[in-house]
Amino acid sequence: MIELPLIFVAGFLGSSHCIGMCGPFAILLGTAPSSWKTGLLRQLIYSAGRVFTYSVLGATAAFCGVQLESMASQIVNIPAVLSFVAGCFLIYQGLLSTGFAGFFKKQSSGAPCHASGVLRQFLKSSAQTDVFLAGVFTGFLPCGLVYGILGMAGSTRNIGLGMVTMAVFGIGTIPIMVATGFGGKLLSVANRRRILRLAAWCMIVAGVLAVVRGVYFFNLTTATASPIDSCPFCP
Amino acid sequence: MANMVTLKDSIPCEYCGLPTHRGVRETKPHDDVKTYCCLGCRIADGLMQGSDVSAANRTALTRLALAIFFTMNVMVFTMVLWTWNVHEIADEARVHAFHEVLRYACLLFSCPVLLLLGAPLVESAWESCKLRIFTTDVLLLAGVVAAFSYSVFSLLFDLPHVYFEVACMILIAVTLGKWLEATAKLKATNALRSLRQLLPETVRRVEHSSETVIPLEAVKINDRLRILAGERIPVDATLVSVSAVIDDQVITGESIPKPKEAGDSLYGGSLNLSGEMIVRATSSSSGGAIARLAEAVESATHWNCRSIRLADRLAAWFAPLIFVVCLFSFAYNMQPGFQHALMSSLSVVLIACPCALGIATPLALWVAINTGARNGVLFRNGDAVMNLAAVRSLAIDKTGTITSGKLQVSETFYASTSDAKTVDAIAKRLATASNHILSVAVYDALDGTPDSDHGDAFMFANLTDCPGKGVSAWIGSASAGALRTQAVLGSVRFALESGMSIPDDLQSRIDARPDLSIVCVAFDKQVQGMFLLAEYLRPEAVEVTRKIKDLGLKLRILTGDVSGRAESMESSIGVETIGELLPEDKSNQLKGMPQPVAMLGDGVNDSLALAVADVGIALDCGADVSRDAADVCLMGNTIVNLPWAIELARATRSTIRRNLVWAVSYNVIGIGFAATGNLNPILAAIAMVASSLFVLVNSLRLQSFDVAGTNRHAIEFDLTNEQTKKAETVSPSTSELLVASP
Repeated sequence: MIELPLIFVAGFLGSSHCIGMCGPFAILLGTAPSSWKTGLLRQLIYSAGRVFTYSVLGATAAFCGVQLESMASQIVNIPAVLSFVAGCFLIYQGLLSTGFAGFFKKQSSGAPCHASGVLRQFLKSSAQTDVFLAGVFTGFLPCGLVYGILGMAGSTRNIGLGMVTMAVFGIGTIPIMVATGFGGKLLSVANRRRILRLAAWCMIVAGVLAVVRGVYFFNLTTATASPIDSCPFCP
Repeated sequence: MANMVTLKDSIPCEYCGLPTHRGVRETKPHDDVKTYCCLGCRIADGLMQGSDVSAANRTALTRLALAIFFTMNVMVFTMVLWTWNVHEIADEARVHAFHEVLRYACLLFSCPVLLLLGAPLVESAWESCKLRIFTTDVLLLAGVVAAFSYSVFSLLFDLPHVYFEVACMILIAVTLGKWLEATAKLKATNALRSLRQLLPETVRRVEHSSETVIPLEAVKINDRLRILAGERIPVDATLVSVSAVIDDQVITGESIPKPKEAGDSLYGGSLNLSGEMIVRATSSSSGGAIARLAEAVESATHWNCRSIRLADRLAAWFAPLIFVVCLFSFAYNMQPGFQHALMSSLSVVLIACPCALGIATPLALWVAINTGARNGVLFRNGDAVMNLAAVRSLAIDKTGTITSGKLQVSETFYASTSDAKTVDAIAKRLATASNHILSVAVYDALDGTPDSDHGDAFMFANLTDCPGKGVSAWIGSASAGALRTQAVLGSVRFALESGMSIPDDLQSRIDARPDLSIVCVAFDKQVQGMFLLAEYLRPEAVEVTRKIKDLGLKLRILTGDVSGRAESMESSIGVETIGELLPEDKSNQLKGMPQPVAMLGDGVNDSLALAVADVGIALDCGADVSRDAADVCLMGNTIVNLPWAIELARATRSTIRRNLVWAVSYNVIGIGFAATGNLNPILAAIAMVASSLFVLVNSLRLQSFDVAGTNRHAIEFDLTNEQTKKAETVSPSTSELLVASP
């Protein structure tokens, strides 16, 4: 997949946005440990939990894509549609982040999420298992960036590849999240905004590539080339 | 259902405080094991043991979280197994080996889920079995065991399908659903817990010139307590200091702080907005307004209303019915194969789990009762909420509801030959001899006026209170030292009976105002002056009656006043008013109104009508929430919250209807799909949690039905405009003043 490096970069740069929402969790993690080694370990375990959830979500999205394809491949060119829709969604998310499509954005309001109380218990715990579980649940938090990449994972039509897509994205988010856990304010708001714009452009490029791929699939006839990949676990 | 508990025997849930409807442990009264109303509360209490979050027992929560983690793994393995046939297969032998590895991985990862979450379900099912109650927990446990056992069997004997993911998802869905339910119950009844926490832990007791800090529990009646600005009054008390400004919104729901004078009563929990003050306790810490209110609300939530009793009866038949449907589904789906039949039966159990149905009515009612209490409206029980929502007409006993209930002197007239100063002085002195409401009104009007402070210039003897008529006495000049004439204070008839004449100028005043109560003061053989007494409309009355009419209710005001006064009321407020009614006539009037009918009264002389009405609404219950005649109590001495209370009741009824329609439709449609083998058990499990979540969120939305403040402010704003207009255009004697006989 040509998009994987882009997805990694989108994850890396996009996590500058994540520290707005998930940053406090990383900082909470940093308050408990006595040494920097323990702190680093906790941060990595926490991120592993997030990557795990992203991978499962990627697998689920890909599974849904596969099922959809097996059910309706006779009616429409499902791989092409999935790839096209995922690309459009990525572009839309990218435009949102750059501010070009700000008028589409719906503001969130209401009471604080009840999940925070549960997450806080895990984050402040000294047990590594709890830290990992905190990462697992943080992975479920709603995030436009995640949705975008998830759309991409869904279009892979391959559970293994879907998992890899989301895992690569998750791994990309680790460096800045770990740095946030240590420094807290390493990046100013202005710098975060600039980096986020870069990430958004990465998403747009990845989205355009997905759209192009979708269009390419549309143009393929089922007789000449089946877009179904071979099994990812087979040699 | 011989083991169903009665309300009296019901033990409150250890976690959420609500009654334990199923009465799991009531047969063992000496058992010190905690009692819970449901499996969810047991789980949730385990999760949240300890009051401090940081000290909470995280073990149980970690168990649930770990179970979710393991289930996520099982799901991924299962998804790979399910999509195997989609991909092109290069080496069948290696693929088969990998296939087997994934199947064993499913077993490996689902075992911890079974161990982590199976125990509470086993315990709950076992409790039900011991009491010979067939609950859905038994069915769910049977489903888990069946799915897991068959999968192990399939693995060992190389059968094609395994269903470890189904067993895991059932456990996760059941545990998560029950926990959400328990959390919602706790949230629904949280208002009064937080109310109790408002009271300070220690208070300052003043003895002679010293001051000691004592625990709240040590406060005794008649203790003098010092309250600083910004502090809450710990118990019910009377004000000893000269004056204070008090915010008693937590009890009465009234947002406007009230000025209080020495001797005024104060509710425990009220906020002292002025400076430091001294109060005298009139209740102990356990008998204050907050304690009474909390007790009343707890009693209301413990009361099983008609719809909950009906739901309980249905639930008793539900589990056996579902068991029959399961058997039918199993038999019906045996044709495609045993696995299909097993999965269909599991789907039926999951989709039929009556969590949403069971919680649909009580949760909405609990939220409504707590929301009402938070806003100064106490519903006596769930039936009161439902009945108030259904009422089509409202009868109002005028005195003390539409009017303030307190008479005030609106106008004073003197005979042309009289000295006003002398008349006031004699009237004030005579008024002290009676506690009659008219005497009190006259005394209040004259108290403190300079002209009335000349009573010492006269001597009084033989002061006699003639019940129903007035007061008479012999008076004379103090300086002369001799009694010279009879003086009376009372009705016109009493003055005439006492041989007094009425001067023409005063007679014309009497003839002009047949709708007013008149108190004459007479001496020297003639009426020397007279006081016209009026009862003031509550400032919110016009706006509140308009809002009630807007809600579509037929309104009627009932009063014992003479017809002239009733007509005056009708023309000023625009609501049909019927006068000259005795208490029993008022209850008869209710029968002629569109049914069901609600009755609003002050609870003094309208108890019969309050009891006869479908919904009795009493006013100013802050000091006495135990008033039995009323189904709904407005805690403050204002009717401003009444339209809001009706709206809350209607919103609650709508919420319950939505909940029931959703829960029943979900169950009926879902069971139809499941029984015919068209619903995957995993989808059924997700649907079960989603259904409960819908009902919980829908019910908890009533917590934000906190429009009392909005309404009040809107009414206050409207009233300001309204009163300004009235002052400019309408004579107070015809619109703002209304006469009433006590």
